[in-house]
Amino acid sequence: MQRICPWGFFALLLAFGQGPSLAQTPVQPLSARLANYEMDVRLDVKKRLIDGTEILTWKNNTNHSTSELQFHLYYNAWLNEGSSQFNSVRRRRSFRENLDDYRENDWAYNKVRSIKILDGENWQEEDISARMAFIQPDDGNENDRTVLRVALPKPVAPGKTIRLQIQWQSKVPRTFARTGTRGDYFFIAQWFPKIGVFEEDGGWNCHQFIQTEFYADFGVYDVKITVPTGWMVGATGKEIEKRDNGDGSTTHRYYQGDVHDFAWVTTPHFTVHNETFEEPNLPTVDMRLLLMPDHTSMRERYFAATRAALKYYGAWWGAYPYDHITIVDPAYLSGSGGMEYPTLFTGGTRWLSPIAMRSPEGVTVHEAGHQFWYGIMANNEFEHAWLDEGFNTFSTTRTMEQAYPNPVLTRRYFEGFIPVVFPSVKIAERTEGADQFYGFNSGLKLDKMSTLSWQYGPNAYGLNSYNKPAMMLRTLENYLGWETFQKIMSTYFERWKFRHPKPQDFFAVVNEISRQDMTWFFEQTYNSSDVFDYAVGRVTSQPVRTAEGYREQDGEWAYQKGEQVKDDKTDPERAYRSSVFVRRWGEAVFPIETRITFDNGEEVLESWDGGSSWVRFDYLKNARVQKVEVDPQHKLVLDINRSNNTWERKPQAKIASAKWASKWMIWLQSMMEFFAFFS
Amino acid sequence: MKISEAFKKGAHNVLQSKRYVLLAYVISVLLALVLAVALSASLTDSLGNSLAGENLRKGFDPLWYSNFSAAARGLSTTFEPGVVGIGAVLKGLDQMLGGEIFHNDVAIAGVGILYLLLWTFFSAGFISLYAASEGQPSFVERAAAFFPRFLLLAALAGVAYFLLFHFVLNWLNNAVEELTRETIDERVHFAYVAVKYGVVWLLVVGINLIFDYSKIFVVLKNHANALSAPWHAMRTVFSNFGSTFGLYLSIGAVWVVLILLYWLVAPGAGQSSWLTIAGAFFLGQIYLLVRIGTRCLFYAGQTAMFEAVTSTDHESDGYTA
Repeated sequence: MQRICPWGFFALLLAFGQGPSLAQTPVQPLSARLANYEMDVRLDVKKRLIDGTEILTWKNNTNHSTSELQFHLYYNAWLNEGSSQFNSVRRRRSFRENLDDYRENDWAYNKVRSIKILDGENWQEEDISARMAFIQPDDGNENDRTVLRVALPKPVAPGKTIRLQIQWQSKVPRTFARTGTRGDYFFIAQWFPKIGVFEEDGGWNCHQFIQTEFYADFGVYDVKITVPTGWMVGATGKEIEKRDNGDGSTTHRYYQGDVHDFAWVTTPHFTVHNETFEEPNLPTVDMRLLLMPDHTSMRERYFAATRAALKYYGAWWGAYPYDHITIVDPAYLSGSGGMEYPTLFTGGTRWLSPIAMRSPEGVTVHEAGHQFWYGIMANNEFEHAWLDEGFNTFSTTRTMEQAYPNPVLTRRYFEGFIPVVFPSVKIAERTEGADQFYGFNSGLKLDKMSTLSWQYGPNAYGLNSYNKPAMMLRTLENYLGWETFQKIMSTYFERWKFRHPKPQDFFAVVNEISRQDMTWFFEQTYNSSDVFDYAVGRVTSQPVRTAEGYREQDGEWAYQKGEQVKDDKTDPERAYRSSVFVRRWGEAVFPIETRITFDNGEEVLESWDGGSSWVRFDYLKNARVQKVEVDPQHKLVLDINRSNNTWERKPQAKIASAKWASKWMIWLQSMMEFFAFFS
Repeated sequence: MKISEAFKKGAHNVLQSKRYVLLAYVISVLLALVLAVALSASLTDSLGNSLAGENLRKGFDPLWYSNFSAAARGLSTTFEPGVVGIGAVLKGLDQMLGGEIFHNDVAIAGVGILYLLLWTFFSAGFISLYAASEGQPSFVERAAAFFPRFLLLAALAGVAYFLLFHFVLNWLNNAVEELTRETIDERVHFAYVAVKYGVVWLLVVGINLIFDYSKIFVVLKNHANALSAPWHAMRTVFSNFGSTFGLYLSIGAVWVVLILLYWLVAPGAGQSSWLTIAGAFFLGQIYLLVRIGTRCLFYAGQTAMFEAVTSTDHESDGYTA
């Protein structure tokens, strides 16, 4: 197992007063390391400005030359209301309401002051600042400044490297999304000019920042961060040097290889806690927790949740390859919680949060889990967000099922400050079913998963990136069995880590390991917005009796009166002719089992390929049908209506309705009393 | 009169006339039952012959609920599992604290307002019952006689509450938001919010107190002009502030303790037989009955206090109605 662990070597270098440089990187790289950054940045906390210089060493790893470079300038999404991101979110009422809260100092920008080619192989130093131009490759919105193109004086040939020095300034926003400041807490992400990805086909993959997450090449980050003395810092990588500058500032140097992004956080309020993750057959990981003072009671819970993620993801998919991880407890209302960055993630919790609320557990497992899909597989989230979010939602749910009790109903009252747990009311895990998407205008029909993420229609991103792919994977697991499924996922992880896989890469692994052509499954789940809905149709059990009418008797036709039979089961020898219809209401097809239980205790399990609109099962038995369960093991998690999958002869609806209506009535009477207070 | 004496006298009077407390309770049951039957039918229809019925009987079925709530319209949209146990009380309490009690489904707001009007009607009858000088009045007769004046008082109170929640609370919300704009410690924000609601509810209690005494004044003095009653009530309250406010808080404490006791015993979702379902329901009904009794205790205790302080005032300054 390869791991980044150059610390012994670094210690030697530090002993001689030197830190590592890119040229001295001693370990076997895990990735192609195409985009490498050395940065020196200073944060002015009062003005909310970051002034920085970065040396970018970029390698063209394709068979095509490029005459330009493209960069992400994410902060420009909050330059003004004309950006493409604002265009996409302004329809949301909550966003419009929050926008009123923003003032002059709350907006943001990334300003590239200068860009210079440095001396190197095939290059001479040259200032190319005049060759910068903003482009809008996705929507043509000229007001959007989130992609910067820099024309080069000559192409970068295949296999060649270019080194650039970029001087820039970033204005830190009051958080619009994930990154920003509140009070004296700064969470800095997507903050520096970041080069896009030059793809194998010779084109730049550098999308505008509209509604998706991110995509970049792996590389080495060597970053010096200067902040006021006494402010704690957490960042991607490990701190390898700390220097008091004597002017009220301290410089923290962080280093990490084989990552594709760099984020950091600083505030004077953190307390720092360290523990170690140790599990048989998995590498040791140092865990560093940065905790805010109002969440000190969450210390053990953060560590336990991180351990659960490292343990189960490691055992199921593949080991976490770095020897450290930083857990950031985000400041209250900072907007920076619940997000992942390489070797660092933000959790999130409340001051009062009983364990049943699964906060910080749920978000911690999820964000720690992102280290595997987002951090190590690193697919293009602009285009296939589901390969990260869907995979991670599925993985999170599975881990929570292993590590924590079943989820129960919780509520928060008094402006959300006071939590109350209702332990007797079980709620569904996220991949338990698709019933919330039931309906003619089901949300699942808004778009198909295969639509590029940045092109999803309104309200389709979350569902198609998180819920649906997670349920798709759950269904696949149920269909193939855990052993095969786990082998698929671990093979996919090992084969494609650090390589930016695409959906077809995953599908190929599925077919290979399962030894089945699962195209039929992915065509319906990934390439279409068709829904699954199987249901019990009509169920009848009629006693067999002599039918009324003419019968042949002694060569003559004679009329015979029908046998009068009471259908009350008083005759144990009475035979019954039963029919069970199972229907397919949805467009999508899936092989389905149906379990029929008779009132003598006998059970029959029928299989159906699920292709036609309905199927009928007939029986002649000395018993009536008592219960029908379509898909009794709930393998087809994507079925949008689980309730119509079952039928019982003696339904419990009346007593169930009375029970819950009586509870509702107590609520109503209580409400009436509150109304009467104002009389 | 001491607070404890007024409290005891009030409690005694409530118990003496408990059949009227029962009357108010029965009306609450009948009004709620109409809607509960409608909801029950909607739930039965949704469950059909499905095994979800069995799941709901034994506990809860989250997948069925996802389905039900996605398709719910009208009254059905008010059904959610958070009505179980103490949730039945906390949900409404939360809305009341924030002045959002009227931001509810039309059917709920409608039955709530109807109940409010019924209490406006009944409160005169209750006050008459509790007033020592009134002998044995006819409950309904007295309620009807004072209803127009009480309706006017309720309208005046409504205006006061509206101004408080719509303007004062909004202003305080903005102030807290501004003061906590850069707060990154939830406990600090919580403290500000608690103070905000403390201020608002001090004012709400003040309005409630004044209008309770306004009603008592109208009945006991047979005061014709309801519009001036609050002024007289304010005089009574503020010139005997310790007693009147103290009594209100004491009875309020009973109300809080009642909620906390119910919190301890309120059944969850685990009942599965007709017997246990009925048992859980009756436990809730006992809570509601005692709660109505507590409301009556406010009237009874405050009537006793009013009688005591105004007789004292009579002696000292020759007050006449």
